[in-house]
Amino acid sequence: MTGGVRELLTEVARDAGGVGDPAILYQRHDVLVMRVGEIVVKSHRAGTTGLQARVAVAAAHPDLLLAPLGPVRRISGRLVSVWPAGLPVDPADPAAVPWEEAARLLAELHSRPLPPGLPRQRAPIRVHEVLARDLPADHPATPVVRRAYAALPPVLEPDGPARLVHGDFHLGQLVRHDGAWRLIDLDDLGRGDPVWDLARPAAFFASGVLAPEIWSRFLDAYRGHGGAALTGDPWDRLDIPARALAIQTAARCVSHAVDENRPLDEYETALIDTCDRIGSLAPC
Amino acid sequence: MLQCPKCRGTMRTFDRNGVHIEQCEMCRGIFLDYGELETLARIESQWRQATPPPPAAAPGWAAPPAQQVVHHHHPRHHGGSLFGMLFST
Repeated sequence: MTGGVRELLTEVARDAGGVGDPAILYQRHDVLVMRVGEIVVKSHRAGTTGLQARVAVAAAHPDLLLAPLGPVRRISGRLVSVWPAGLPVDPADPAAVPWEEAARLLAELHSRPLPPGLPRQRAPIRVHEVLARDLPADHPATPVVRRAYAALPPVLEPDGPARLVHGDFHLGQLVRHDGAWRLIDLDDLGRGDPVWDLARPAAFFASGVLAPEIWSRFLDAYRGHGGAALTGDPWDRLDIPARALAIQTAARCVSHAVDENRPLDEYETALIDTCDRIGSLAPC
Repeated sequence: MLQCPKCRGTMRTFDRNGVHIEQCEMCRGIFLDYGELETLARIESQWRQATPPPPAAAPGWAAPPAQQVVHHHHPRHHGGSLFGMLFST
């Protein structure tokens, strides 16, 4: 990402009323998110498609999703969206994580009407994208992750009744705005199986890194708000999506550890151990 | 009487769940005969199975309880990689 894009985004933010010094909120690959005062501007991944339709969903459900400030624009060949700044979940205060509220937002999202023409949700696609990249060849965890990935069914999301799905739910996707929690980041939102929105916490629970009480709180709140993704034994539906997201997370952990030239920590090791167990199962 | 290999104190014999263990009166260190640790572990796991907390359902590939690295309620590693994982794609 060049300095030129930063200046362009800063200018967009200032035009939208942002006052103050620009700050980079997120930068990875070719995605850049910047904040200027009360305005956040995002330059989306190159090759992003369907963003207009996704942002329209946010505009239609401002009680669940942070609503955009104006339409998506194309600047220097990149799609740029403009948002009000929200307050993220504080990673230093685990007791304050709004698990129940997150579950409620997802349960309600899953019950809203599916607008025609919305693309598929991208969670399963992201799994394949991450595993299609090179993993550190010399790392002992790489073959463990690869073997688990090879044991996944080739089609991660079979066709079936579709609902409105966030597609990339994690705690970084919650912000507080005007006194209420909202979901952000619509790049992977779409039609699909809502169980994918529960699959990342499920994977962390099953890997032993998310406390069973927290998982139960999240699950109970989701069900309590009429969540559509689950009936009966939650693992009937969660099994494959949670395996897939455990493997995706493990792959990222290995890459991050190698990039940062450090050993895997206990949580990352737990994810690799999970891959080992998944890879030992009979093929799906 | 056995002598403690660590502090030279006197070891006393106790019966715990039918297993004889020697414990030092001075440093409280414990000496186990061959196989006794396994026996205690087995008794411990039988006790756990006999009084299970209501468990959250989990898939066949889930971590066994002994391998869980969660820090109940309040992860001590906040700001570390656990929250890095929970907060990113």
